[in-house]
Amino acid sequence: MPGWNLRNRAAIVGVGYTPMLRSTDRSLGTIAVEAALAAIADAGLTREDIDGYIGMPNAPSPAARHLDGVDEISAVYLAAALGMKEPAWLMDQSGQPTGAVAAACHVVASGLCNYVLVLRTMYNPVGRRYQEASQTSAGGPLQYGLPYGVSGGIAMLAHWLQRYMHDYGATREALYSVVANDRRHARLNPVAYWRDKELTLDDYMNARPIYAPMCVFDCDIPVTAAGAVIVTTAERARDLRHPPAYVSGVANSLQPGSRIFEISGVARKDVQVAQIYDGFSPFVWNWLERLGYCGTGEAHLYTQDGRIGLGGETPINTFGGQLGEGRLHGMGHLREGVMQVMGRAGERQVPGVQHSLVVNGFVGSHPYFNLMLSRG
Amino acid sequence: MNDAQSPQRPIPEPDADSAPYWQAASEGRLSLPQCAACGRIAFPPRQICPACNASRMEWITLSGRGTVYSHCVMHERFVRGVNPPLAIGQIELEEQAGLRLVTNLLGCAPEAVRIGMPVEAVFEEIAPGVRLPQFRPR
Ligand SMILES: [Zn+2]
Repeated sequence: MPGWNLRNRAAIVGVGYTPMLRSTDRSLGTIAVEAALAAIADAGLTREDIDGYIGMPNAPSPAARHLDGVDEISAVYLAAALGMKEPAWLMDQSGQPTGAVAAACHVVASGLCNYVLVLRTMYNPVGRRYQEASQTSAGGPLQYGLPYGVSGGIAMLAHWLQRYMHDYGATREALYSVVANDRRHARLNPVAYWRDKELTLDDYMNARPIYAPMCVFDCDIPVTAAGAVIVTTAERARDLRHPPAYVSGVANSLQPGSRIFEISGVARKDVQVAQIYDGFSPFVWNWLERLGYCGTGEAHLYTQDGRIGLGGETPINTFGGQLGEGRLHGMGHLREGVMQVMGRAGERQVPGVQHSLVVNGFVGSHPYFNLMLSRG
Repeated sequence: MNDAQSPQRPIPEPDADSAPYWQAASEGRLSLPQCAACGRIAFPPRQICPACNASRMEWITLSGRGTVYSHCVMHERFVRGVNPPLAIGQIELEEQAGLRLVTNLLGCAPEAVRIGMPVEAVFEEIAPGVRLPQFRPR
């Protein structure tokens, strides 16, 4: 099996982000530049140091208009808006921020760039519902779903959940443990959308069904916000402001879940904290089983009794996840994974973090990346 | 029940891969391409076999029989012209294990749908000459 020659040879050295807003008068381009400048400053760098950019422009909302600078930010837009001079690498990619970091590791390790900016913006459409599809025809993959009422990913997750409950005796009460864990952690995260509001079991069980058995609180809350990180070589990272978050391994969701532990050389038992993609709550159960934290069909038991909370066996989604913070499409998970390994997570800090796992993968066929981040 | 769907429901746009699928549906048949080399049936339709990469795919007419692999109930309207409550199922077709497509479940209350329920295809006219493969209990 191929290995990875870049273990710990590149690192994340700065993070930047904006507040999670439901709507704003500021343009998405402004928000993107603010997050970029914040990440650059956090790393102790200046704009002139940044010579590479990798972004994920696609607006995944069914209501998206796909207008550059309005609901999406392309590499071309960002480079111009930030005033980048002669960047050596500019790239838009279709995956999650973890995949962009994996690519950035290659770009800096090759010597092509010194510092690569990775940025994700998300846009909550104003005046329309995030999941609302108004088109009169359905082409491409939508032709097999939209005419039946399938908009976005929720129905597919509802199918996964229904089948899982049927096969393993899981319940919505059990799934509350995942959502409640996120919402509890969100109260310790100053930028989380749900930082001021607990979610009781009653609230959850009586919530609006969306695609039943999925209710509104099983879905992350759409926000307008941006997050950014800076990737550089291990050599440069050592001279900067913060302890580097070295990238010790990369794997993706088409590979076996154990691959991230094999390629990073970090055993699951040596991982102190994990951020697991939770755009929809059932993802967490699926990933806990695929990663081997529990057996197949056991995740609904594993997530009980505080096991995934701060102070538990392996705290998960310590920033509140997307269910608690807002829908940044994996950038929140990446940012928190970095902050935990740098020791900068404040009230949420897990003691003695040596290895921090970031899972951005999905259920299904998307080859989205997972990262292992390690302290030097 | 979904007899209340409005005429603005999105119309499928046939493409080079899918045109025979929608043509067959308009004739009241469920049809998919089967690989002449390895026998695998492809959904979504493909012109090169995803299983063995052979390029001879033959469109066959399926029985339209299957079972409910999973299901959910759409409680809010997210797609113009598709009205809640509406059962959305994943049907596993009897011709091949794991061959599943998304459908509405007609002819029964959304809450009466069960995993494993035997179903059969019906074809719902959603616009003049446009019929959508749908499933109902058999
Ligand atoms: Zn074949």
